[in-house]
Amino acid sequence: MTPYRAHLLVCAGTGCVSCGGFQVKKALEAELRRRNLQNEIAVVATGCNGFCEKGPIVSVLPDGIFYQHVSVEDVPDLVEEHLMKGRPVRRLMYTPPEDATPVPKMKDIEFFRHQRLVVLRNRGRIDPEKIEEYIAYEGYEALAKALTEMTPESVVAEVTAAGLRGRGGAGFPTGVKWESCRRASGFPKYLVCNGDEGDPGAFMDRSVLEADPHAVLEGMTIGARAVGAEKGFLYIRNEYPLALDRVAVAVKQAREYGLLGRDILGTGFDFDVEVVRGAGAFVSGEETALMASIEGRRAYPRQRPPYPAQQGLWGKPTVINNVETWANVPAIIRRGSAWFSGLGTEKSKGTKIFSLVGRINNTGLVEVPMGIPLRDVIYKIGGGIPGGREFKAVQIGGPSGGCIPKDLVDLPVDYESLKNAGSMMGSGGLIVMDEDTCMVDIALYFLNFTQEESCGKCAPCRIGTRQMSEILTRIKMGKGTEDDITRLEDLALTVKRGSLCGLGQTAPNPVLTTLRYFRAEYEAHILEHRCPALVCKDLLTYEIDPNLCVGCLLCKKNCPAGAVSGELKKPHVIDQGLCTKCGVCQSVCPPKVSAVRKSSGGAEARARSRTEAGGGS
Amino acid sequence: MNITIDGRPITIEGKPTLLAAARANGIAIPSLCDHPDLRPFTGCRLCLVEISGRRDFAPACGTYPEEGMSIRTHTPELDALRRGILELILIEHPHACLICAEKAGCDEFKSTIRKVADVTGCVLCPNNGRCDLQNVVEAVGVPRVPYPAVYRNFDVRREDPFFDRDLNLCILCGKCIRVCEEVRGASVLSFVHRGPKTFVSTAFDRPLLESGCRFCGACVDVCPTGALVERVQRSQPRPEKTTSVVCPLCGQGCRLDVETREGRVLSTPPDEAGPVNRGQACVRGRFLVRSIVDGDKRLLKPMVRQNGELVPAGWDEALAAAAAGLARFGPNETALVFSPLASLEDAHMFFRFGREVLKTDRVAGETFPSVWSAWEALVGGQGSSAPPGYRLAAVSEASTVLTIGIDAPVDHPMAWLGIVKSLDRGGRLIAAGFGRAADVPSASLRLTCRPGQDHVLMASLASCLAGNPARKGGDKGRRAWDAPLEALTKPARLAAAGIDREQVEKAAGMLSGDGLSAVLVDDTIAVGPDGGRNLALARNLALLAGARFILLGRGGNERGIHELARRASGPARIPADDIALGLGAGTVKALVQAGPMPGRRGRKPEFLVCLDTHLGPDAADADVVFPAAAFIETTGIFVNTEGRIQSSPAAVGLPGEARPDWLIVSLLGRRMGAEGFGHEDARPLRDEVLEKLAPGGRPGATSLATDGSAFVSGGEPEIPGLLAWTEPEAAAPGTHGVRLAVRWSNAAFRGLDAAREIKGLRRLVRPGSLSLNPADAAAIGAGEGQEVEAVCKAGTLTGNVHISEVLPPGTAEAVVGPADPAEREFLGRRVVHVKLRRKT
Repeated sequence: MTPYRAHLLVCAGTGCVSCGGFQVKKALEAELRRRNLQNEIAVVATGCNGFCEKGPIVSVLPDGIFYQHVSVEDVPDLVEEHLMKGRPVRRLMYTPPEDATPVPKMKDIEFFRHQRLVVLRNRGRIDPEKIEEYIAYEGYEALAKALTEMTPESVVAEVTAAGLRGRGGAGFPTGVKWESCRRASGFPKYLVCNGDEGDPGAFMDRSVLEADPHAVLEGMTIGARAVGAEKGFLYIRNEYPLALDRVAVAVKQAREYGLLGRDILGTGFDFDVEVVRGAGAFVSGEETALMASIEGRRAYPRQRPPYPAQQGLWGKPTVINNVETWANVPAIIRRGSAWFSGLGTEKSKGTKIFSLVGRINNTGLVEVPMGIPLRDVIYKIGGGIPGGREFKAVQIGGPSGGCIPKDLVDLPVDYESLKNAGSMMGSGGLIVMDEDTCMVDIALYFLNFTQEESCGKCAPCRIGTRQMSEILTRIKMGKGTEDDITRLEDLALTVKRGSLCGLGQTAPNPVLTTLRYFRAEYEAHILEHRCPALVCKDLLTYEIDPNLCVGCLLCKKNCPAGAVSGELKKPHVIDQGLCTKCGVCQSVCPPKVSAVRKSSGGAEARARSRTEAGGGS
Repeated sequence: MNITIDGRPITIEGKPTLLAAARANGIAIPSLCDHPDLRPFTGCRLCLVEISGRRDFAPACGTYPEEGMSIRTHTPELDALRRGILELILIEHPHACLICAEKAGCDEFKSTIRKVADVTGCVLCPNNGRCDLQNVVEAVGVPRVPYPAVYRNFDVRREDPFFDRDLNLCILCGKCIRVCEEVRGASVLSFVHRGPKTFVSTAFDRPLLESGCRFCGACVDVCPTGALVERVQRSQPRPEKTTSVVCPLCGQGCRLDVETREGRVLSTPPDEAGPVNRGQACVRGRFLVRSIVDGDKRLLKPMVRQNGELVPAGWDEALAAAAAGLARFGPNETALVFSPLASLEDAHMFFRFGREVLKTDRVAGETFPSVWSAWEALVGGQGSSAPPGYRLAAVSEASTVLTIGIDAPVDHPMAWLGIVKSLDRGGRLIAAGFGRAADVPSASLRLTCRPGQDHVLMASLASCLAGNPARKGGDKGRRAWDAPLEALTKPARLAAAGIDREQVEKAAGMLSGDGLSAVLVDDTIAVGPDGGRNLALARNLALLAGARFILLGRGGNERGIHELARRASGPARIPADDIALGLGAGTVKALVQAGPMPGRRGRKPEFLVCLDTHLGPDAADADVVFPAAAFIETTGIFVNTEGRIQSSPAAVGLPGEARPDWLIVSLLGRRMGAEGFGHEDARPLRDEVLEKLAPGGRPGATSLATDGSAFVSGGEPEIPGLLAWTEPEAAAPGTHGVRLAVRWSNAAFRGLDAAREIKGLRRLVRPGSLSLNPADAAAIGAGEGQEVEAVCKAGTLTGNVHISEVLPPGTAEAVVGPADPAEREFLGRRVVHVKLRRKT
């Protein structure tokens, strides 16, 4: 191994790659060669760092300096200033919004400081396509321990004692599932890794597979030892090409090193895996539909019981776990259940990865200990709401989950608390919403997603969700009626209690939670024809304040519907009959003038909202 | 096991689902997607029940009882949920009639079903009154549907024969898909797209005709709504009466429920209690019976030839003419041919008439030699010549099934369903033979050979098995092989026969595996000049492999007629095509023809009397024609290929002046002055017949059951070791042109060639088509559908080209029927060397 004096870790997670991460890496390598530094400084492509908002990211070791928004043009400067002259480049560093002082070191940045990396411990510091680097950071030690020092029973006991719960959403105790499969009769037994992450806005599993695929493989091999399986399947959605590539490389290298396949580590234990590509449906993330898909059949869910641990793939006992769940296993075995159960809360042990997205300053991937207050995630790690807007709610659990309103922002993030509040942990998507988000619109968004992805096997989901979305659509158009809310609630109950699988059973959740916490918004839409967040187009009115308008003709020229009339230096007027509510007039009106007012509801309501909004639009 | 349902203690035997257990105990739970023959789907969600201790409701159709389970089928929440789900289902199904306030009055006074393009309500739907959805709505009670109705606006699919597909009425229960896959093994239908866009169709939405559908009608019978309905049902009223008859259109012995109203046949769905078919049928029994029985060529009056033309006549006149004509000829100058579909009563009288009145040996109850005659020819004289006894159920119990030369789904549908069951349980199918015999999509292994080379295939299989000490047959059959086996298994011989040695070894391995095996053959290989040899080989092969030997007969009552003839120790059974030869040679001068007679075309005897249901080309030549009854118009005893004895009642009355064959023959016999003829009642005939069939033929044993539970005694003949056989001179494979394999159509019904006369069937089976390898077609410059001639020394067969990728180059396949203008040489044999040319 060549001793390098510095490592440049270029983030090669999908987010950074899509804004040019690979080009930055190439540029760095070229620049280093130009300066003849290639034997002193290594450039490594790593997995996702998590701070996706700030990509492309380059971090420098051993300094621990974090650079963001690095472009190809910045490369010569970076190499010259930092690596040759020892002067880190301030303009590329992270600068918190409230304060103009750059924070040079990654560990000091608020976004990273409050995180606790267990599953993502290797992110940003290893090349996921080099198994040696994984091994260098205690990789595969847990497997060695499980195969040589432990029995299948003791492995299961350790995982149970650790309190690991399924990270795919349901939170079922992993040890219990494993024990059930270990005891089940049937041969051969199988393992499945559910990598069919489908929630909109969720990319936790993708990042784990891209950044540290060996963690998943090691976890699965340990699991195989525990339950007695010889074959595992990684079902990864086809829409994750980078993850598929990285896993393929990892599998190949693990086999070469004798860590996968026959006679692993010379212990006589056999376990091998096959990668199966998901074929483009959200429902194939449901475990029974996933198994049908692996078997080559249409991805329709089936009734449970029998549960997969008893009768899974081809009728044989099968353990299906989420990517993140598998990736937790090596740490538990290596460091012990006592250590793991020291993290988190009484009933929710360990950490959870969240994808923090939406109206948030620091969009990205975070791993936090269970039980952390939601407030900390949003404000400390997330950096708060951009543009100084006010936090309104956060959707947790995607289309199966519900929203948590700002009143509950101190809620600890764990399975039970979220469930009691009407939401659920889900797979970890956290979609932050501000005052400019309409909750009715959000409910419809998720319901449309569910409709699109419903497999169609059972009537309640297939037909019931459509009826619900039609009611919501009418409400958004101002055509809602008084009994619509009752009808929504009745339908929600039928869909929830009647559906065959989790997709249908949880599809009404967004509607139910938004109704629970934001009923007034629904009522405003229905009774006042008003959208308080000013989102629902059919309920909006654009008006020009004659007192503010300077008559510059800009809005008139840009209006696609020809709805603006007026002469130069005279106040302009919008013809409501022609207006299509596109909002162009407001966006072209000079900020100093800001004469265009967007409002919603009837005349009184509009007047009211004008006074409420004050100077804002 | 003990459980409680709604407070009632229930005892469970076996492993039924909760739904089945409840229903067996008279507790009604609604369901639209459940079916006793299909695996649970749990899609309609109507059968949800509450199980104490479980948070979520469970679908009764997919849940199995556990000791001590306590179930409630009705709670306020459950009832509301069921109604809610039904309301959702009804949104997408035209439901105006279901919730209309005028329903009661409408049902009572509006009895016509109008033939409409779009079904917008029950009253316009052909399924009205027999609809599962209607029944469930009634049981659950849906006063209103509080959502706007959605009409999916599909075009009604009318492009396929026999039934329409109106997807606007489909509730996506999946039963059609599941029955096609799980029971019929055809997998023609599937769900397409997903979610609210889901609909049921074929791959790429092609017509059923292009998707491998055989139109068995199982999907139509299982559909709970009017989405899949027989086309003729659209303009028909509901049946008044249903009679279960035996279908004689092939040898399986299925029972059909003939639905009639005012004496007319409406439809013939399968009988769910049929001991052989259990609610399944095939295209012939399901969709053709109506057309056969009510076709416009039905003979309704006797006819007599006057001044060169056939004119209607009275019975007296016709009987007199027939008697007078036949009396002019001496014994053995006359012959009698009848149909293998005839009932035993008919057959009994035909045999008697031939023996006692015409005093001739030449009485044929078989169109071609049947497997039963072939078997008898082979073993007769070695002890009991009773054909092997078996039950078709043995097929489904086998782990490995070997079919040789058989087109099971078409010719032996119930045996095919047994194979499907076996495959479903993890069994394996080895499909061996030429052309369509091996071209079975779900076969685990295809053992192909060139036409007429099945014996080489069997010999090579036998030689592999003989060399395997682990085979189950033990040492049986080992001895007589040796020399003949040697010659037949040399590599050059295998290559010439188009046989892949590796595949043979694989097959032998499968046959030696665990579990029961079965070997199935039919007349395709067992009949013809080499039939005896093939039959012996097949039987030996089964012995070697320790497998059940199942000999399948194709004709409807072939086995029964054979049994009757055998026990009556009557004249040697001569097949009809042999008699046709006699016509050509001039040794048969007068003929009574009551069934198809291949090769008679162009060879009219001096005097011809025809008994037929339809005025086909053969009857058109006759001097006297008598109108005969079709099988549903008269009672009869039928014996299927297993030897199962079933009685078939009359479902409708006799049309016109038609009479059952036994009656016509009886009247004619009396007119000709014979003793013991003139029966007017079938019952004594039936008793005579049953006496003959009874084991040991004990007189007075008329208590033989005719409900299908009794069988003619069959068995393995008591022959020591093997059946001996000799290898005729090895015929070198064809050196010119192609080798054509000819099959006899299974759609011939007496004088009616259904394959040509019934439009729907014509589209399905493409009569007159000659299947060719693309290379051979290209060599003569013929494209799909073009007319070609297959010429051999003896004659010419004309047909339309059908390109088949499955046939090896230098081979061809054709199916011929009674209406085909083919030379007898093509029909009697199975394999002919021919030269092909475009027809100009």
